[in-house]
Amino acid sequence: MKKLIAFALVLAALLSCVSGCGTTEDNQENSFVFTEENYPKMGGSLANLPLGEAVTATVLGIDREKASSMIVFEGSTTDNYEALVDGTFDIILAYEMGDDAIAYANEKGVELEMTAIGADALVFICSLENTVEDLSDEQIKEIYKGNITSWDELGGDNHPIIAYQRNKDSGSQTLFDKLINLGDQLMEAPKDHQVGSMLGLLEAVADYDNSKDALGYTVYYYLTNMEGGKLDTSKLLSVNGVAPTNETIASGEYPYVNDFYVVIRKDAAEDSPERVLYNWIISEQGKELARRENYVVK
Amino acid sequence: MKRIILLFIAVLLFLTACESTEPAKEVSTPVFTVNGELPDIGKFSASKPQERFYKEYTPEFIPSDDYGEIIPFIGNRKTYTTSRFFGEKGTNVYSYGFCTPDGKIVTDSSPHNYIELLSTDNGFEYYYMSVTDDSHDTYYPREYFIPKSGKWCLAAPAYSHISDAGRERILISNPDMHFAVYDYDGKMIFELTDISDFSYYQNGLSAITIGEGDSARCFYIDSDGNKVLGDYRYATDFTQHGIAGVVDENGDCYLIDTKGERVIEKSYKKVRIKHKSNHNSPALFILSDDSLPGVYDVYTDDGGFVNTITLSNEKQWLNLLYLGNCVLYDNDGTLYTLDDRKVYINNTFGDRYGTVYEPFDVIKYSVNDRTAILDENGNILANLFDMYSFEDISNDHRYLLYRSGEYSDFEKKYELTDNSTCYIYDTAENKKLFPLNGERYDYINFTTADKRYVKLYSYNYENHENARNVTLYDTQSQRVLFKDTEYVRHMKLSGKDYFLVCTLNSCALYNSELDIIYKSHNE
Repeated sequence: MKKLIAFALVLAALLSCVSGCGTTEDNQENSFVFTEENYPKMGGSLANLPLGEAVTATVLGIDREKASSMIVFEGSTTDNYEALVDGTFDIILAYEMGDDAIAYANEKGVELEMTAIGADALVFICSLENTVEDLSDEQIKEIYKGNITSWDELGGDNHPIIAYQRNKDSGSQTLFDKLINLGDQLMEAPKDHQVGSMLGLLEAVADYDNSKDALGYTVYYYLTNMEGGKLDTSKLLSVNGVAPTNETIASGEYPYVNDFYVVIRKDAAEDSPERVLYNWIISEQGKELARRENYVVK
Repeated sequence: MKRIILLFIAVLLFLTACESTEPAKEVSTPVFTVNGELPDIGKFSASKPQERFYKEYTPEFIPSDDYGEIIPFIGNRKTYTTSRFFGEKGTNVYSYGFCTPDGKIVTDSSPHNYIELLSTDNGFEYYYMSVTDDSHDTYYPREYFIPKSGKWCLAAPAYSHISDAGRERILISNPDMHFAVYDYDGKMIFELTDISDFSYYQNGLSAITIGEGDSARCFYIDSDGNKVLGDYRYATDFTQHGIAGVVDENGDCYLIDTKGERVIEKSYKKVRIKHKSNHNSPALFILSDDSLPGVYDVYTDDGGFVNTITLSNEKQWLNLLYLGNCVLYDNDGTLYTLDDRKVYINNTFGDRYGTVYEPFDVIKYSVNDRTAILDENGNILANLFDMYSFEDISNDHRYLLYRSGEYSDFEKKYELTDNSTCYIYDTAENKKLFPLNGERYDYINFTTADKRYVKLYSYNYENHENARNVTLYDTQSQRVLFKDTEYVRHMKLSGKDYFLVCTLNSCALYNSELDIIYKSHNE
């Protein structure tokens, strides 16, 4: 009888072992291969284009130019989230969703799943010729309310501050609205009359133009990695004595920091390409790729 | 009992083993991993800075430096959520600026509706453009002309046009009687403000009309604005052979040369001129006398008599069709050759008027869903079902590239399948060859008259958005230059090729070696 019992025990142990072996086989069978056909529709914010391009090129084994033609990184953060909710995109790399995007997702009954993968920041720039090096967050608010109007109030020359803003649907304006949060107190933006005088009655919100009295803002990663040569004529201003760098953004010491996320729809199937890609982007390999692209990685 | 307990333990062990497989299910989610080190994919291609190289240019666009030549670049492309046209999800607005061929920025980019590099018949190359603003409205009341040197910029009312005025001068005019002559340096020579009609310059002369109705008087002026011939009650423009039709103060109508001398003896009461295409193209004069209604004498543009024709409807003279060396006229749906009045084609194909496709010199004649393509001798080259548009891609009529289906199908959101595909048709073998490259294209056009580069468009029909895919194919090297683009513009400046190419994420200006002169990322 003891033999029978021993046999039962061995059998149980064996079955247990076989079950374990089965898992290993599943892992091998479940290694996922991306192709151009099954690659998820990817979109996101412009500042995340290099990451989207790098991810696409790496997982498909194609060059960056080809990768860039397969993804769409433009439009506002809200546009990108709405496109994800609607199914225009399967996966996005974007900043945190705003109230409009949350309301849209709720209205459509779509839940999203997101993980922060890195941080970016709103930064302020002025001409290299300008002697001002630092602004406090309070000074920034007063400038854009229209209460501080001359550089000499900030320790610079007695020249008017030309405080440029961005068009309302740009990513950096969205970031400005969120982080500086002036609401109705935001002063009217300067219009571009110079272009208008040459080519008609054009009245667009003028772009920062590097002139000596100009003050502009943009996104840190975009400025330092995507807009080659801009810092040859402009400089980054520190805020509250903290210069924006990869380190101060990572530590949160720089005040105007904003995370960016990889996002998919929550109902994406476990074996769907977008979920597999999502998992890879937040894996150590994905983070290593983001670091290589010079992002501040979480 | 002991046995039962041991057996129970064994079963329990087994079940435990089974349960242990549960967490493994999560592990069994498909996983992607890059084996080994991450591959080297190179660096991201950053935008070139849009810093104005010529900082001292004035608002009038007059340079403080010599630019040499300028070429448009796209500073960025913005998509607005509102649409201008049916079927669009949003509107793309491109911001153009000018740079030198080596990428030095001359003007900052600003939103434009339209920008085109054009040339007058005498070879004066210039940019014709209109601007817009954040409203991205399609209509803007001002247009601008800039020579390829960028030395000056002239603003003109909408729908203005540049034409040659002779002696290295240009006429900028529009249908609202804006009439001003400039030299090639942008200096105005003279301007007319009191005219009621005008013609373009030919042989150094333009016919202008002062006053209206019975009091209208016509003169010919030179490129200094001097009246050199006239006055007349009515005057046509001069042809390239220096002949014009006039009605003098006595009501007599005849043809004259550039000295005002009559070139035909016979007098008529009415004269009309019908050009093949533009005012520089071959023309015919149609003269008639009120005493013989429906009878018209036709003269060539050097004053030679061609024939007398009879038309049931006076308006039919408008339907003179130039087909190679043959000229046809339409009388009640039957086309006759003008020189010997033989029937070219009767109304077998229905009562629709034909359309001549230049410079191919073939005629498209269609009824319902069937279209015939005929050459100047009346030979049917192709008889195609559901043909919408075509191009002669061989210049000898052997191969036609045609598209079937209607654009309205797209507008009406009909399911479009193979019907909208472009085909090459072999007119000698009377058969369709194959869809280009085996791929579907919805629209095709050549970028220039020399047919070197062809743009192949595929539209996104799935959701009828404005997304489209443009391929640029070089027929000379027989290779695809750009694929999967959103927008391609080919420009030929001083004989050199330039390409403006936008993808979903960026816009770039390339030279003929396909080196990037300027690149920006879309906002």
